[in-house]
Amino acid sequence: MILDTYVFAALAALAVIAAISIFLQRRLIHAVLSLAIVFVSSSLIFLLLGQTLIAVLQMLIFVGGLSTYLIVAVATEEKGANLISIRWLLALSIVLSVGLSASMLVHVPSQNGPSPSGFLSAASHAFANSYAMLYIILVLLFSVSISGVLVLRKFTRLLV
Amino acid sequence: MVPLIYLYLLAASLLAIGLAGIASDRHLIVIMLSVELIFAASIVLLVGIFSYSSKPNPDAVIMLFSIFAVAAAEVITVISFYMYMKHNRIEFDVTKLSKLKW
Repeated sequence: MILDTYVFAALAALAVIAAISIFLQRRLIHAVLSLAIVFVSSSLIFLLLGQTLIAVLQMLIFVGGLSTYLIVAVATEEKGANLISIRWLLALSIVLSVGLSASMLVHVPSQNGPSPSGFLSAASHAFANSYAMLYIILVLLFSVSISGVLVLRKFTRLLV
Repeated sequence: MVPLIYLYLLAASLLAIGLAGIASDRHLIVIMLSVELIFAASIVLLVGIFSYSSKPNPDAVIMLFSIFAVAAAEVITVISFYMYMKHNRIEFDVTKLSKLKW
């Protein structure tokens, strides 16, 4: 499908731009967030290829484990005012969750159909197998946790 | 389906960016992030070949888990060094690490 190629191109461009931006950031925590964006985009590419389990594992281990650990470790050492705008994080998490939810609801999975090909049919097939719901919950959870770390960091600095 | 050559190009791009980061930057954490990029490139290539092969080898999943484990271990180790160096006020410039005294 042509749509799969366009979606892949967008995700690949996002991954490459985020990878380059790691070395262009002034602050270390922004570089770590750029790396997290690379992992999220690669996870979405795995979902596009129909590998839902690997996409979920990528989100769990690299984004939920490594990136969150890096952000907490680096954020505790950063000094200065606003690390990142919270509104951008909230907007990104809302866009991700709405986008994933819409992609799941567009196609209704067939009960006795052949193996799915293409992003939307693979996503709807994964929704029927409950991996995609876990995926959406993970995206929301990680967005909230990363935002929470940054908000707590901001408010504790104000209290000191 | 997405042509496999596009996945090759993406993996090669991420690998090249990671290698350039290792060669150009001197900060310990940025070098570690570059290594993580190379891990991501290897995972993209592995999953792409696994998805497109007519007879996917189940050993690829074991290889995938080993990549996850090595990446996690590397991050934990480097962050431990980072915390120690931060606590002892040691510079993170890797070109100056040879001047550390035992």
